[in-house]
Amino acid sequence: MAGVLSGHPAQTTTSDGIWPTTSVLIGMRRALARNSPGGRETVLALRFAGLLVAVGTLLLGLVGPGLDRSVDLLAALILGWLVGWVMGPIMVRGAGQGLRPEWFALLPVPPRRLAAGLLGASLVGVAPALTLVAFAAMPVAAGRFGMLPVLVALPAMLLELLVVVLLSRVVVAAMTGLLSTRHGQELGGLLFAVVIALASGGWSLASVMGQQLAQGPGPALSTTLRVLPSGWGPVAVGAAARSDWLLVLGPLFGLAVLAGLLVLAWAWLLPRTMRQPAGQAPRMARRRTPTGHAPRMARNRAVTGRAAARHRLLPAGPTGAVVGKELRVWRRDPARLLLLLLAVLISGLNLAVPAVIFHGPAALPWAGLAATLIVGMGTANMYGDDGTALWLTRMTPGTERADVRGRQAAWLLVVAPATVALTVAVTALTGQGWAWPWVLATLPAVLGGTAGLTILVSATMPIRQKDPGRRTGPFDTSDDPSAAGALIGRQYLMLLLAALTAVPAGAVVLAGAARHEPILQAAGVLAGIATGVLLYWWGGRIAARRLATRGADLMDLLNLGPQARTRGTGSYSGRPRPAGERGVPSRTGPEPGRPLPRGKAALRGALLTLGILCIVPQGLVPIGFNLLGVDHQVKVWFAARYLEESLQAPAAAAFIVVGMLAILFARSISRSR
Amino acid sequence: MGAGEALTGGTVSVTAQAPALQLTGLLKRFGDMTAVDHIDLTVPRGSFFGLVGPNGAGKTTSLAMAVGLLKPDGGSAEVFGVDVWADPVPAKQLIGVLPDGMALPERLTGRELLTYLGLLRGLDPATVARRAQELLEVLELTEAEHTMVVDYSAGMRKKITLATALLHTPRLLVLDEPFEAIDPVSAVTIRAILRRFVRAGGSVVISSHVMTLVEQLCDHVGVIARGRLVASGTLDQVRGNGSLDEAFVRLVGVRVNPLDGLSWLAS
Repeated sequence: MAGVLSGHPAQTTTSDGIWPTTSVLIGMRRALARNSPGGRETVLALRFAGLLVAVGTLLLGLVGPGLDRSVDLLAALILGWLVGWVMGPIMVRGAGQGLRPEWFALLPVPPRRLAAGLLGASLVGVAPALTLVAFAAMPVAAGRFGMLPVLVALPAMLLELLVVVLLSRVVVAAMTGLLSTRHGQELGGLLFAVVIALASGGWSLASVMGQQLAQGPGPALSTTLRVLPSGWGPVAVGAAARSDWLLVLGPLFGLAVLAGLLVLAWAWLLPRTMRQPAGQAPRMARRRTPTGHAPRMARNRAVTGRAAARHRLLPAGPTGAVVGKELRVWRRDPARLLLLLLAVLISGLNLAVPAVIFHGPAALPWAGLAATLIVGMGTANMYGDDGTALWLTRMTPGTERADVRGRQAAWLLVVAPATVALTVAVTALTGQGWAWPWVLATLPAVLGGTAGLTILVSATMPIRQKDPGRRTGPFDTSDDPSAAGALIGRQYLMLLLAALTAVPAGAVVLAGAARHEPILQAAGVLAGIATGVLLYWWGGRIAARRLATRGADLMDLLNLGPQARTRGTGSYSGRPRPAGERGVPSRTGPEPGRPLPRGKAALRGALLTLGILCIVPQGLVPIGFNLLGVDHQVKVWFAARYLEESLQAPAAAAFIVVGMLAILFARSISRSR
Repeated sequence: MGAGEALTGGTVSVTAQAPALQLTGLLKRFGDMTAVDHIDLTVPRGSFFGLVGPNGAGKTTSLAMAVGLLKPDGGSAEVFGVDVWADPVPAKQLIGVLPDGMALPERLTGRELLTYLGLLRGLDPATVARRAQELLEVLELTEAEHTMVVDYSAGMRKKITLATALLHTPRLLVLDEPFEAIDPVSAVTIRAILRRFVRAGGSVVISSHVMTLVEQLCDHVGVIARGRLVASGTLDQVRGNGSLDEAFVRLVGVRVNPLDGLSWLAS
């Protein structure tokens, strides 16, 4: 230690120029990527997927039939990458290996040099390299129109890359600044919710765009694609092919100016993000009251006296206490409020957009059901989302049942009234009378079933998340990309399970409809209520028993992460825990991570990616489309939809089987270590 | 095991003479690293016990296993003769715990948190309200009446967690670094609370790196280094004729001569 310190006494002062700072920062980013816990397979899987998409883009660049169509296609492809660059860091905030400017706030490095260094470091790496491969579609496509277009395409390619990366940095910096205030967090959450909902409903938009591109884009789409900066490079290439030199220089110059402006914007934002690091903003100043509203604060003073009265509304004793706590959390935690908002937006947009585009209001009565499923997905990790707070239940023995039942009751109290009202209102207003037996039968089943199954999944397979007190915003739940991936898996499992709860009631209604027996249809409602009650009771029972008998394992898992269970068998790799981890885990000792060899990890990542792609978009989605009667024009990239109608279902089923095999194979690789 | 029985408190069969806390052969491994290596430790009834040791010695891990928050790989922990892991329900009624760096329900105010936990423990609402009020007053958290735990400072977080540990009148308090991040005024208050608790017959275990604090407060000391208990007994037995600081350095061993290296620092 002393040798390291005294051996290079000049180390701290050598990085005089921009390049040394940049190279140190690049090295630091590599080290961070290397040390990211358990994330290696995820990272490799992402890189593999990225490579596929990049090569796909490059090849697509070749297929544009004419010059104009090629320009449109290239512009659309670059726009896609731009959206990815902007959305990526927002959606997986904290999961990336980026350098956070606030780390360098105390260094005696001039801000401008640091800004340049950080920009330089963000231009070096796998993601920019993959993007460059994708953008090489421009010179490759230009090759068909002569040598001069290629010469224009090369700077256009580099400038587009620069703009895309810079834009991404500026958005991240702006978001960091935004998320450091309470109102900013709320605003950011709202923006995020809208963007997610749009993205989730975006498949119908994408399908319209894809059709247009395939058949020759309409003037509106073509103009939009070319006016956006992502289209400027392709426009310049197209102009070079027509020897329209003004239209070559204009867009290229525009891209350079835009890059310059983005650098300025970033240099302006950088010191602000450094001054107010999101994690350490003065908390007391940030939020003073439970709700952040002054009138509420005044009211709260009176409420203290009324607290006992309010408790009387709830069942007395431990369960009532948990319900009371949970209802407060639903009202106060931005993450939960955001979940409710997302549920409404996603279900609304996903059902309303196709209803408008394809003129099919038949899907609308399911909005309440869909919203319930989405809330269920979001609450599939209730115990993990509370961080290590389970310790309180652990130290208050005998209250496991109260905890589980209280959470279930609060969930139902929050979700049921809204979804029932939504379902009734939408079904009545859109005049979809046929839907009544269906929604009335399935909604109670799904409500009760999800309330039972979320708590069951939460208690039996929790995923460790960052302690809520240390989060910088509603999405900052984990520094570990593999946990983020596991959580997504859990959420889709929950979606599947929750959707299955509708099957018995749905089957009864279907039988009634097929035989034209209204009484049998009405019996579906009873079946739905019975399913709901039964699953509510059963899920809670298993969860409570699990908490009582396996509570210690659960606590270990939430406290130390999944590796804690392989104790005594693994070889300790000596990797430190990620920076910023506070509390027991870092004190009790580093977790033993044992990564797969690189080649196997890559294979496993590739197989998992392949498996998910086969099962979800190539298998379940086309089947769902067929069941819902989605327009046959909607093909996008769902391979099965390109086949003859009788072959579509078998093809999708085959994709699901292949996907499952791939995932099984991937699992066998990780087991054989 | 009826939940009601566990919650009413009171009737727990406590072996007449068993120590407040008895750790026997406690073991915890993380991969190949042994964090706690067969620790045997006795905390006598009515004692104020200080557990000291360098960073990463295994104090937090040992205490977490002692109170039932971290599953040991071997050994046992008994509270007044009740095995914490075999018989957790009665054992946990006897202890109040302040763990280090565990999460709380962040979106509650301090009073709401205490109310919620009190009701969860089966205390009647009037008792909970009275105790919560007293605890908030004594720990000077009433000014932050409307602040949610998520917005608490590190010191306030410590204090509200201490309040949750005291709420149900435990007989043994296990406090991990109770004075870390606490302001001097609150520290005086907390010391007074703990002293009074011991005078009334309670037992306290605290962990700390601050030797002077342990010397002032504790009558018994245990020293942990590299996962092992290297000394344990009354304060005088452990420190001998010198100060606790000197005894600690002697027991733990000087790892690096502070005068080696760093020669450039003064040049």
